[in-house]
Amino acid sequence: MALPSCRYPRDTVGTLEHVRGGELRVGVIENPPWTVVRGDTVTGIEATLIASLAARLNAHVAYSFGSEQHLFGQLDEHALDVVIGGLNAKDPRAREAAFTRPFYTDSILVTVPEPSTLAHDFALKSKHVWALPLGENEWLVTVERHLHSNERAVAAMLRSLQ
Amino acid sequence: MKLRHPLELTPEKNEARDRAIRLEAVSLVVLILAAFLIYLTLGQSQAMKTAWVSDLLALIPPIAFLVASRFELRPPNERYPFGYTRSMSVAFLITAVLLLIVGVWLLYDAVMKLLRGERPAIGTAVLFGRQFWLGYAMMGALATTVVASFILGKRKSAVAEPLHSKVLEADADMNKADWTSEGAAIVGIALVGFGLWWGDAVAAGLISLTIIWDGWHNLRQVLGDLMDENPSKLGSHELEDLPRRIRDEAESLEWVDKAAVRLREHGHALYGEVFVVPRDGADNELVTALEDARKRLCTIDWRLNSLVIAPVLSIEDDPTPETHTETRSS
Repeated sequence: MALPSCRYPRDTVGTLEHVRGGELRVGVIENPPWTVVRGDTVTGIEATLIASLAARLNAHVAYSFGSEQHLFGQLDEHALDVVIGGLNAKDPRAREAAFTRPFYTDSILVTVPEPSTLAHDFALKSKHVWALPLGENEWLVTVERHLHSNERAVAAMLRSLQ
Repeated sequence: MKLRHPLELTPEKNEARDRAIRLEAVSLVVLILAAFLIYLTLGQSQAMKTAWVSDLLALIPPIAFLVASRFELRPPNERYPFGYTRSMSVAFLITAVLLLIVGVWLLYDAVMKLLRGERPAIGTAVLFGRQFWLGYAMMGALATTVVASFILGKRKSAVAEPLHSKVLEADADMNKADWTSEGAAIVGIALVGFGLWWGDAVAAGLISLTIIWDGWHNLRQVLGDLMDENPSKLGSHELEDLPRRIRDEAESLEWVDKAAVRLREHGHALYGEVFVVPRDGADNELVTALEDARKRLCTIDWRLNSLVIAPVLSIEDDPTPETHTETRSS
């Protein structure tokens, strides 16, 4: 994918070309510790990954906020390049967007302190993904390669938070 | 005359039949493996799902054939006085209908994909530490299934010929539907890789038209078979000349003046009647007695449309059912 004359696969509307050296438009769903929103700034594990991706592509990051429905709509219209924020592979919106390979899978045991309205402790198995527009396969491959090379970093960041 | 004799095959035909059965059993195993291989590369995209489902549907004709072949050679009994050779026609019907369903469904799926502007998302996979575009894996899996289906189809056609088996020919058509649609899927994925999102749907749509044509063609054949149509040649609507050859042979007998032949297909077997007018026609007491008897027997029930009375030297295994009068009070 690095050879300029032999790009395969390609995007249908040239998302990667538009991002590279330009603007990376990110839709953010707040979900600590994955995304932490304070005013207009976004921090957290996924924000860190976005920053390194943008640096790699020589792009500057523009964050957008809104409901999941709104952000996915923007993604579909190619007004956004990626939506992040603790998205789960099992999200019902999986058909509206291209979900990446999971960059982190965990089995979280949620312990509930007594007394509580919740009856007992429960476990959540969670595959963390990002959402990209459908049909932008060169972009998808680029993002997935970046995520894959950062999988260990994600695990390390999570551990340091505990 | 033995009325309950099953379909008897020459050693050569028996060998062909055994080959067919082995081939269909192998088909099942190969197709299950192929379906599993495709399942592994399904990923999140819809692109492969149609290939996968049509692969699964292709499992049904071999199963139908294997089940029918267990029944086919059974001798006739009280419940089935004509025997079980029609079980092959049932397998043929199932196969033809499935072929048509697969074709129609693929066409519908392709058209809906185009109308909805669905753009396939094909990302990466990681295997043994190496990350690569999933599209290559999909094309690889499809290529293996193309080869497998192609070989199976060609072998089945070869075995269908000596057995004059329309079921096997139809199943071979099912395999052809598989490898052509899988080939189209490869082209489709390659086009998607070039950014042409509609590539997959257009390729699948074009191929589905050929599958519909094959399904329809087979369905017409099996419906004809079930309607007791005059035997037609394998894979065509052209009528066979076998009835005419039988008639000519009958008329060559010195005591026969004129003859007429009526044949129908029962799976792999042919059943029928030969009507002969003897040379001493109206003077022949037996013939006139038979004509009178036929008219008389036909009046027994309004449904008796055609009865053929055949004089034989002796009767073994009378297939006429013995009815038991049951008391309904208990």
